[in-house]
Order: sequence, then C-alpha cells, then structure tokens
Amino acid sequence: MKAIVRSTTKRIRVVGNRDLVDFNLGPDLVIELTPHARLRYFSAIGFRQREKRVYFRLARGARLEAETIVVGQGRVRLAIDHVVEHRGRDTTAYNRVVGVFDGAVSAAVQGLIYVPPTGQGSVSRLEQRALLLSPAPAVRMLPQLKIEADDVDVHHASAASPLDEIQIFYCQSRGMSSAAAVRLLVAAFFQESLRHITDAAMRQRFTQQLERALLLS
Amino acid sequence: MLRSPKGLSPAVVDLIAEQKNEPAWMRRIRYEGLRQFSQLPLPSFGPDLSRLDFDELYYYLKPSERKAQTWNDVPPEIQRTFNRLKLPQYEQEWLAGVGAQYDSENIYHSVLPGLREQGVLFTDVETAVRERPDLVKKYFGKLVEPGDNKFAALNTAVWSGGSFIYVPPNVHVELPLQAYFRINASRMGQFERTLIVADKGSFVHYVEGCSAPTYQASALHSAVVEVFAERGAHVRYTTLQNWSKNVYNLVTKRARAEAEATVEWVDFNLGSAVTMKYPAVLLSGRGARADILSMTYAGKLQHQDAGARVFHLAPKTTSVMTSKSVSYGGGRTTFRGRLKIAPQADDCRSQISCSALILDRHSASDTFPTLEVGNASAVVAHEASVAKISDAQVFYAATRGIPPKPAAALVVNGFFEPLIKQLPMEYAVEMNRLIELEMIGAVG
Repeated sequence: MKAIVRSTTKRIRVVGNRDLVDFNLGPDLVIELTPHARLRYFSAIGFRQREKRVYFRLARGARLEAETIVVGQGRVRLAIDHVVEHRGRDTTAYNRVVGVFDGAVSAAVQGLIYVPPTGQGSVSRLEQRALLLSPAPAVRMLPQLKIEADDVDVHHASAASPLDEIQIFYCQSRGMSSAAAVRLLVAAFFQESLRHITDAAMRQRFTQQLERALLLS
Repeated sequence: MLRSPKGLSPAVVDLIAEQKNEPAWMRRIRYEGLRQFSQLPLPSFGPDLSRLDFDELYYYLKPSERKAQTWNDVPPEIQRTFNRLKLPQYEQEWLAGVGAQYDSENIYHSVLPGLREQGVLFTDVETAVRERPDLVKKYFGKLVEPGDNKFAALNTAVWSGGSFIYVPPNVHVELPLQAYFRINASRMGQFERTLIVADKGSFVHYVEGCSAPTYQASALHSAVVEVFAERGAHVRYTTLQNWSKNVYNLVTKRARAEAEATVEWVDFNLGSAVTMKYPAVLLSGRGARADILSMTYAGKLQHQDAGARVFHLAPKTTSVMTSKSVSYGGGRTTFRGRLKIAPQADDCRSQISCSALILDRHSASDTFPTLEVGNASAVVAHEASVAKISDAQVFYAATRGIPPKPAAALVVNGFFEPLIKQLPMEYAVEMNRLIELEMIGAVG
C-alpha cells in the first residue's frame, strides 16, 4: 500500500520524541516515524483547514498518539482521511478523531489501520466520535482495518449521537440556559483532546478560539 | 438428464423458459436480466473474480423429469446424497417443510399438511409462477431489480428453482422451513431464486444449507433472495454455506421490513473459494427492526467477503449487525458493512460490532464499514477488533491437559458460540463439528 502523493503533499520525518500541532500544515501530509520515534500529533479541522489527508508510516518500535478535533458548522464540507501503516514490528498507534457537527455540514471522516505482514506485534486503536447538534448534518464515517499479520492487537470504534437530553436537563435544573448547557457539554466533549496540545499558551489560545466558534453556532 | 450448451446466450434463456413452460411476462424479465448482464461490469471492489470464466459454465442442468413429494420417488443416486446430508431424517424430526434442489431443479418439496390448510405456501418459484402469478408479479424483482448488479442480472436471466414462501396474516410457522441446495456437476452454475412474503403479523424461520463435491473446475452459485416482511411480521433467514472450496458464491440478499416488522439474517459462511454476500434490510416502516449475524471462516485459498447493509428509512427503526470471522492457512476474511440513516428517519438506533481472529501469519482480515448519518437524532455505534488466539488461553488449556490444537479449536468454537446459539440445536451441533474438522491442521 502506498501513500497518495500530490503536488501539495508535505513530508515530515520524525526522529526521537516530537510534538506536532497542525493548525495549517496543508491538506496532505506524509509523516514517517523512524525506528523508535515518538510523535504526539494534534490537528484541528473546520477552522483554517477543511480537508486533511495524513498518512502515518511507523517504523520498528515507533509510537504515535494522534488527536484531531473537528468543528463543522454552517454549510461547509469537511474531509478527514487518516491512514496509519504499521510497517515495522512492535509499533503502537492511538488515533482519535472527535467532531461536533452543526447546521447543514457535510463531513466524511475516514480512517484506516493497515498492518502489513512486516508489522507483527502492532498495537493500534482508531476512535471516531461525532456529536450531532442540528437536525440535518450529513456525516459519513468510514473506520477501516486491513490486517495482514497475526500477532496484532487492533481495535476501532465509531459513534455518532446527539447530545444527551438528560444532561442538558440537569444543567438547566441548575439555572443554565439551554444554549449555555449545550456549550458546556460540547466543551467537555473536547476537553480530553485538548490535553494533547502540550504547550500551555497554545492550548489556551486554541481553547478560546474553540469557545468563540461554539458561541457563534 | 438435460443440460444446456456451455456458455450464456438467448438460446439458453429460451431453453430454460421452455422447460418451465413460462408465461411471456416472466420470459421478458429474463431477457431484461440477460441484457443487463451483458452491460454491467464486474464489481469494482472485493475479491479477484478474473478467473471466473462465464463462457465455460453450464447454466442449466435438469437432473430428473419430475419433482417428488415423497423421498421414495426421488431417483436413488440423488436420494443417497440427501440421505448422507440427513435431510429426510431432519424433516421427520423437526422441520415444518423441506425443499431440495439438485443442480438446477427442485427434486423434492413438501410441507406439513396443517400448514397447507392454514394457507402457507412453500414451493419452488416455478410452481408459484404458474399457481400464484398475482403474488409473484407483485414481489418478484421488486427489491433486487434485474440491473441491480451483474450477478443479480445473471440470476434474473437464468434463475431456476429456489423457494417461494407465503405466510398468511397472523400465521406463525413454529418449526423451520428448510431448503437444501446441492451442486453436483462440474462447471455448473446454480441460480436459485428465493422469494419470501410474510404477511401482517406472521412469523417464519427459513433455513438454507448448501454443499457441493470438489471438482477440478470451478462452479458458480449466484442466488437472489428477496424477503418481504409486512406490518408486524417476523422473518428469520438462516444460511449455512458449506460449498466446496472451488465454488464462487456471489449472492444478492435483500429484505424489506414494514412497520413493526423484524427481519433477521443469520449467515454462516464456511465453504466456497470466494464469497461475496452482503445481506441487506430496508427498514421502511416505523419501528421496524433488523438483526444481522454474520460468521465467516476462511482457510487456504479462501476469501470470504461478507457483511451487512441496513438502510433506516423510517423513524424509530433499530438495527444490530454482528460479525465474527476467523482466518487461517492463508485465508482472508472481509467484513463490508453499510449503515445509512436517512434524513426522515428520526430516533433510530444502530449498533455494528465486528471481531476477527487471525490464526497464522499467512492469513488476513479486513473491516470496511461505512456509516452514513443523515439525521441528528440517531444513535449509532460501531466497534471492531482483530487479534490472535492469546498465548494465555492456550497455556490455560495446556494446564488442564488440552494440547495446543484442540485448545485452538476450543477457543474458535467459543469465539463463535454466541452466534451458533442462534441456530436450531441440530445445526448448532453440526456447526461445532464442522469447525472442529476445519481446525484440524489449521493451527500449529
């Protein structure tokens, strides 16, 4: 399996430990983790970026922790496509995409875990979660596995649902307006993902940007 | 015995239609199928079908001049085959009706007299075309149109045999109805057509089994199944596929569930070289429910590409799709699922779960689900996992004196157990034995 390389594709080579925050690195990335490299990758879609295709290739003993936040509002079209290839032995990947979809947004969230025969001993997780806030979003989720080695531990999970009405009611019973309750619950939905921005100042700036975006919806 | 010339042509379609003394309207449907077949491409996804040579196949083989209503009237060599498969014994013990197809034709059909008196029809489609054209015209090809896909088109052109079931309103067929399909000739194509109509508030459980001896040349099985569950009806459709390892099993199965109806597909795929089968349910009435269980087992040179498709087209509909697969000896299993929640389908719930075991480093497993959510009130969840038999399980068995191979068979049986429990007991026992037999030599 080969990464699709376009004229816009950027290649990033990771050696040792690295944190990478992707607010606008371009729509196509090929990220190669060299042997025993560690990468914490964070990406935000729906702000400055609407399309993102990332091909992660993990060499022997490499470890990836990828976190992507998606905010879809209005009539925009969003597309996220992640491939994690466990090319080397004993690699580990945790890849999570969490999104909130409002208005008439159209979104495709695609993810593939690929373990070729050389990827024995791989551990991989792919999680996709979608929160649906308006009556008419169109969300396609395609979590895929292609496994050609037997000594693996691979899982993926996807879930889509509206906000829990009981939670909203609970907030309202404490004096919150319905809109404030929704904002609080959405912020909580993203909370864990935001921890992946390790730079405190950057996390603060992005949290404010996220709150502004949610206020506008 | 009558056999059509090799290859597919209008003359072969005419031969089949003439053998069945069909009315003109059915012959027109066949011609439309033939036209679509010549125009449609092979599927752009899934296993390699390039070795399937349509010109080398025989599309119709009539083994016997007449259909029997007692096993004594069945030709002895065919009777021996079905005796070995225990079909007459099962009929006596626990079935409400039995159909047996040998190559292209049904050679036996019977149903309990009590059910006949209640208006239950269980026959082959040819008989239904003659005796109940009103029902056949109303339902035939309405869920799977001739141009649906290349193999549905092929089936429409040359269909022969299969089952037609009609269950009147509020009639519960408590014992299963069973059909058994046997391909016995080399280079043979079997194209049965199954049409099930469960009227309002009724219940029926249909079980189909299939097998074939091994020849050097490949055979093709390309069936079309259409199931209509009217308001409040409940249809359970169980398939035990154990074709020999040189059969291409390319099947289109689709059901429509009206308000408060339930459709269950229980699908076990052990045999065949290649299987492509994705049972589908259209939940078109409020409160309808779909439940799809898929179990696949792929060994050496096998690719089991199976899955499930559910379309939530009405409010308050629910679905559960469960898949379990085992691959070993270079086999490949693929789960291909599709879930669609239409914009008008408020308050729907759906759950998909897939788990796969890979028993050696030569084998592979794929999971390709697509979830399309067009209504924000939907609650949809999907999970999948791939793993091997853990060393801890094998070690645990070893401490109890169980050697590695039987231990692996035990683990695989345990892996499938929640699905096998859905089968009538006689089949469950048979399935466990089949898995144990398949597991010999699979591990270690």
